[in-house]
Amino acid sequence: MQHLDALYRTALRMTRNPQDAEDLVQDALVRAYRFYDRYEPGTNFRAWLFKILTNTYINTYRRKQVRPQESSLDDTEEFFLFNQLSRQGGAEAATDNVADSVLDQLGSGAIQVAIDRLPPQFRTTVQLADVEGLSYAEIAEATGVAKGTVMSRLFRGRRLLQRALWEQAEMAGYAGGSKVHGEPPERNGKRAAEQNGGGERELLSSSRGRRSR
Amino acid sequence: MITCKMCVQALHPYLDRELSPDDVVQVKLHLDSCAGCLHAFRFQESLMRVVRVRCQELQAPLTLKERVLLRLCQERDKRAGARADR
Repeated sequence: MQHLDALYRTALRMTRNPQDAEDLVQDALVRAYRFYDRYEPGTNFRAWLFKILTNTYINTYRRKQVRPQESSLDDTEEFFLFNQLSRQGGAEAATDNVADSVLDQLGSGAIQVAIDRLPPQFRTTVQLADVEGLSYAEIAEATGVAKGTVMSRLFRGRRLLQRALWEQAEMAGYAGGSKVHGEPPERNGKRAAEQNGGGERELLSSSRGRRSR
Repeated sequence: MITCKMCVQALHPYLDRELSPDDVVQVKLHLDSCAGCLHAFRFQESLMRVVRVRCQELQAPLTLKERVLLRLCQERDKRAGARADR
């Protein structure tokens, strides 16, 4: 039962519905109990449990679930949120004040909403890595994909998460200032990316500038 | 020494402690001399910490714990019953 909280949190991100999440966890644990003889002692028990959760979700819940329309999130630059905050107060401000400014005000509810906006395969991978602390190998086992796929999903998922968090912050009025209110978030994101020509280049140019001093 | 581009490519595996020891040394050397990358890495690190701490506050409802325990006991009894029938 020590994994119950982690299983429930992950199930909630998969189903995005508390009742379905409870049913999913219960079904997965009953299957784990029934198939316990298939668990190989010495292998990773946590990864095995999450694998059963993932398979139970795919076999039962995903099929019957009527999805609300998913909001679209296009792939975005690395450090999207960092770049947005740097623009407001400089790179040092983005680093030093982030905990007690934008993110602090967002709270767990807003972060969970941002994770829920990720496309399903990215959502589960980000949840398992960033909330439950599974290794790449454990996530590969749990989700049934190669480690390379886990990495690309995770890195892209984190980029999307920064963008989703920024949009949450904008909507809540914690960030972005008055100029961005009332505009569709996608447009803001695209416009910011166009202005910067991509976060990596911005990071590279700013760091080159610093180094040459 | 590695470039900023290579350093950024190593961002996630570095923070996830999935990088080889040799590569960790390379990243650390770069971060020591590049304030831009250092700030970006630190930001990503604190963001990930906030996400983890906040999301882990969520726990399974007590009713679910009770439900699951009851259901697993039923499974056990069913199995014991099946064995007794044999």
